Amino acid sequence: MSESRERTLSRRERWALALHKAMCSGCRNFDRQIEALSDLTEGFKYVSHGADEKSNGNREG
Amino acid sequence: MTENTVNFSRMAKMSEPINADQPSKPFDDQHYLLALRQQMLKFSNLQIADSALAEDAVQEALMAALKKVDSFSGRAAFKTWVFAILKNKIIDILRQRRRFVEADSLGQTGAEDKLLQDDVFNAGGHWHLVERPQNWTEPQLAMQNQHFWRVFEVCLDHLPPQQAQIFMMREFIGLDTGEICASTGVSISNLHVLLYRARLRLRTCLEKHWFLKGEDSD
Repeated sequence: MSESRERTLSRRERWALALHKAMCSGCRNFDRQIEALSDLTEGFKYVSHGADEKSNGNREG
Repeated sequence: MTENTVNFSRMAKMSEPINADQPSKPFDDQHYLLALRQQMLKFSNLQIADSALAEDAVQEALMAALKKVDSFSGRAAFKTWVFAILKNKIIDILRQRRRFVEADSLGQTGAEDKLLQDDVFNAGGHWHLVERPQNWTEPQLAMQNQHFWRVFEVCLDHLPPQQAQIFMMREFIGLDTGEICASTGVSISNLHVLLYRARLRLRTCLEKHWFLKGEDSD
């Protein structure tokens, strides 16, 4: 699942993964979670880079 | 190395007189510089385990930025640019150190990760009941919560250094796997393993310390 985010899986791999996910609710959640991790880390970029902008320039109230 | 930081702002003050009405020039304000340097250090330390090297990268990036300070009208543009320089410095350093990185690639934290693996999965390879990933309700909402980012940062800090480095290169800097392999010397299959381990650790940490805890609790 993690690897499927890095490369295109073969047809056989996609099928195996889909089958596995159908039977495993934890895995479906895991898949959604690592997707969320990606978004959160993207968001973290703005938090960590933009942290001082808020305290310095409060022009746009 | 606070001396250097003081010098930076001193140099900046010499080249540009302080003007209280216009706080937007990047080098006018020592507090701004110090804060920026702290952010850069934090970022750099996440990528480079060696704190002396991490600091070198920050120093060099700031030096390079200082030379072009006049071409920036605002702080946001300047900051984007200084981080872009820092990113390249970091990649240079990682490239020089690729052999060292390769050496501890999967060995050093291997045993520890075996333990994590055993904690999370049972002998049959299934999730232990208590460890089974839950449905995170609206992870996007967490982004608006200051406390969440503190938890997120702590979880990142608890990743083994190499996993943190590679995860951040992939998801934070946004390099593709080919670039990461080229700059770290890690093989593509090891990279996939390291990313998987980092994700497993992070999700476990976030679930335990945030998503199952109730978002209102401090």
